[in-house]
Amino acid sequence: MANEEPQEKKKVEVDWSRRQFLIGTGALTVVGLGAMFLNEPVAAAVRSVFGQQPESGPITVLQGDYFYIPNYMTWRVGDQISMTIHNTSTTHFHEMQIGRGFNTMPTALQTIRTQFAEDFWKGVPVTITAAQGIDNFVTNEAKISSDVHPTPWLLTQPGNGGFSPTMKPGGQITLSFTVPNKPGIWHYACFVQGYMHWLAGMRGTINILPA
Amino acid sequence: MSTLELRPDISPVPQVVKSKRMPPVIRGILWSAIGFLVINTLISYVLDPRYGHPFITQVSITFGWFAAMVGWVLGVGAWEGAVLPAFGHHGTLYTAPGWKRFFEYSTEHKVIGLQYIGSSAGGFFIAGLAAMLMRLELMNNSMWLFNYPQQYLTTVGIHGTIMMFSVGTVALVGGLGNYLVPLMIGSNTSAFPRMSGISVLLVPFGIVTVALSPLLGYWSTGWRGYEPLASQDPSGILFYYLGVFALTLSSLLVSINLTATVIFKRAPGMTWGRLPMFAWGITTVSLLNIIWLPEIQLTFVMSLVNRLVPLPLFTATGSPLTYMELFWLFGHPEVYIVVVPALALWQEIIPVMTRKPLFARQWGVIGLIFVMMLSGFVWAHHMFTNMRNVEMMPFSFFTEMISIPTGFAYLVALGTLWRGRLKFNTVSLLVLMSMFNFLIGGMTGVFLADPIINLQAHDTFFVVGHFHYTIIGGMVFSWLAAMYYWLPKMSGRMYNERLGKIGAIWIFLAFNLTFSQFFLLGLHGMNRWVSVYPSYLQPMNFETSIFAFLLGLGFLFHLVHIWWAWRAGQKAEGNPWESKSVEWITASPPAEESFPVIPRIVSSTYTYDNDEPAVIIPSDGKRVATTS
Repeated sequence: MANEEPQEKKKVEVDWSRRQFLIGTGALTVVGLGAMFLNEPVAAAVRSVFGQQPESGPITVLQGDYFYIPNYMTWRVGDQISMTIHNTSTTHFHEMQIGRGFNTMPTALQTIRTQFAEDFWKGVPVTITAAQGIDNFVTNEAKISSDVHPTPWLLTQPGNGGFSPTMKPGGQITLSFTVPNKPGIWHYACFVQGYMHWLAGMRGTINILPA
Repeated sequence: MSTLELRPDISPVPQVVKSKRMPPVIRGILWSAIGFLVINTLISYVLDPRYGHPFITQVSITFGWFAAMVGWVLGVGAWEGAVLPAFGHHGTLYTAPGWKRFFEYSTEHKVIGLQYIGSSAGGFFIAGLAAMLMRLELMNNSMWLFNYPQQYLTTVGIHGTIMMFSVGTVALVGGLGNYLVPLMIGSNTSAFPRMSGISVLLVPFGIVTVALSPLLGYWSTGWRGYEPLASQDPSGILFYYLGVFALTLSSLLVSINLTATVIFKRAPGMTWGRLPMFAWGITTVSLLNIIWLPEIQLTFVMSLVNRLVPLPLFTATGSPLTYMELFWLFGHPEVYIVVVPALALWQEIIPVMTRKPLFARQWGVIGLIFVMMLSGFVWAHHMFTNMRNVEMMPFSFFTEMISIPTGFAYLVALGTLWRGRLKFNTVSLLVLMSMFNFLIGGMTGVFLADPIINLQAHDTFFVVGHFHYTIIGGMVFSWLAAMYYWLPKMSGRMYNERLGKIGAIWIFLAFNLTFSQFFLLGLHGMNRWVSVYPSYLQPMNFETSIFAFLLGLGFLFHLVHIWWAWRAGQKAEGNPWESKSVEWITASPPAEESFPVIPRIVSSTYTYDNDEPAVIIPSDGKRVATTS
């Protein structure tokens, strides 16, 4: 019978190391707990110890539900950047606004944040070098040019809110630009679906170093 | 009095070879990591690459997880223990001495039972920690502990999922069932020992999967996985589906094994009419599992595929209701899967403690079986807010009806207590507390079965209070009673009566002060599934949280006490409760071979009105091989 213990099989006692067992499982527990609860402090500590090289050239920002990878970037004024923003979600639209401060809107329950007050892209020349699966792209006050045929999703007229490419699930866009002379800490975020994505943690930080 | 006791033969101690092998758990983790890396890489880079070549995609992690599960099970020992023998390869099965047996593959039902109990206890404290975080957040009516609302909802989901699928469904069935049922029916093994050895390994794997789900993104559906919310949720929901798959698969294998054990492995004379109540409870619950677990597994597989492909299941008009029906078809029997073994435990323990024959035994069995059958007719009472009035009536009716067979369990227990001389110790105290708590849970359940009240109290803390009274109050208190009752059997040592009673009173007070306030909170308008709530509810939530922390500490106290008693408690007598049940004629703790000679059962094991033994060891009984 398949589940009968075969008679001819011998049971031999062979010990194993308690120390290996405890160190192995203990280390994995620590890693698991760290990954669950301490990822942000650990990332910040690693950044502060090792610093972070400014990124330039082709870089990729992945969007998920509801996060960015990476959620921290370092740029330097004057560097040439070709940033591909890719929405990896299979279900949700996502955008990427960059700015500081918040425009707010009072509601019955709480005051909610609708978008950044100060738009990083104001006056910055940006070229769209590739695009696919775009729902809409509000350019606000950026100086936009495009290598691809941008209609009908490109919205250049004012009054549509801050600079924000909004990708459909699976969509991506590549923006080429020179980092403008706006050093300091900037934030990026997604405010779609009634600003719930920002609330759910879809945020990141850009540290722009002076030239 | 059954003073009969078998001592195991003094067999030569096997020589312990000093050469070392890798600890099986570490090898399991290693094989698991290898399985994951190979399959995940194959899928995300070769078979189904996505734009930007992300290493982890929803598809790759699903298949990678299955490979990791197989790697884990084989690595811990199923490779030598089950796979090689299946191909006719008779290698050597290694075992380690002492406590290390519990951290490797085993085919011995007592080791497996304790592995299940240990895993369940682990799940209980992980999910308990999640509950403490929830109560900490709810101490204030704003978001002050968690950064995002989804973190709170994920914590609720992890708490519910691990508690239901790795504790509620597992501790009494996989744990006590595996340990006790073969002993109670006079068998040396369960029916399918290798399958059982594999099934227990799925529990820690499933618990870790669910606990680590936030790594893939926060999910907001709770343990119910409601559609279409789940299909729109971040990817963390994948680890909910996968972890629950491992846990339900484990419970399904347990149920098949224990049902076959009860049917085929009973000792001579252990007729169905003499089958112990706990074995009856495990049999009925196993049938429930065998009916409903495949149903919910299929539902979750549909939801998973719905997400991965993706398919439009459950999203068309009316389809979300289909998911709810499918979920609660399983979901309500699940509640009885949790509680029926607890009812059986009362009936197992009370006759021993009162020294009286079990009152109206047949009605007890009928009660268990009718609870099992009626539990399939009540599911829609979870969905009264989504139904037409005429549809509510039959479900309301059956829901109120199910309190009748549940009442049988009470009548059997009360009839046995009636004019008995109850030994008032930690065990009987916990059983009485369990009966009280479950009564509160049951009576509030009758209110909730009534559509008029249900529609008012729906999705409030009233409901949360109700089901915590049934599950913690009914099942967890009975589990603790059983742990104290069978501690001398499992460890050969006795707990400290004073500490046990202090612990029992501690958790009883903390539990009732916490969850009775849930009823009041609910009636005052406290909703479930929210981390931010109206400020007038804050003071009551604040002090409810304090009692909840005391409850958590109380459970830790019991854990430490049982741990201490297990290792350093006073040596127990062979049969300290003077029970007539079959498991007590074995040595304490039983040797690997529990019964060197298969016993013969000559009467009901609840006949405490006479001194005749219920079990005899046949003098002409043939010695049985360890592995018969």
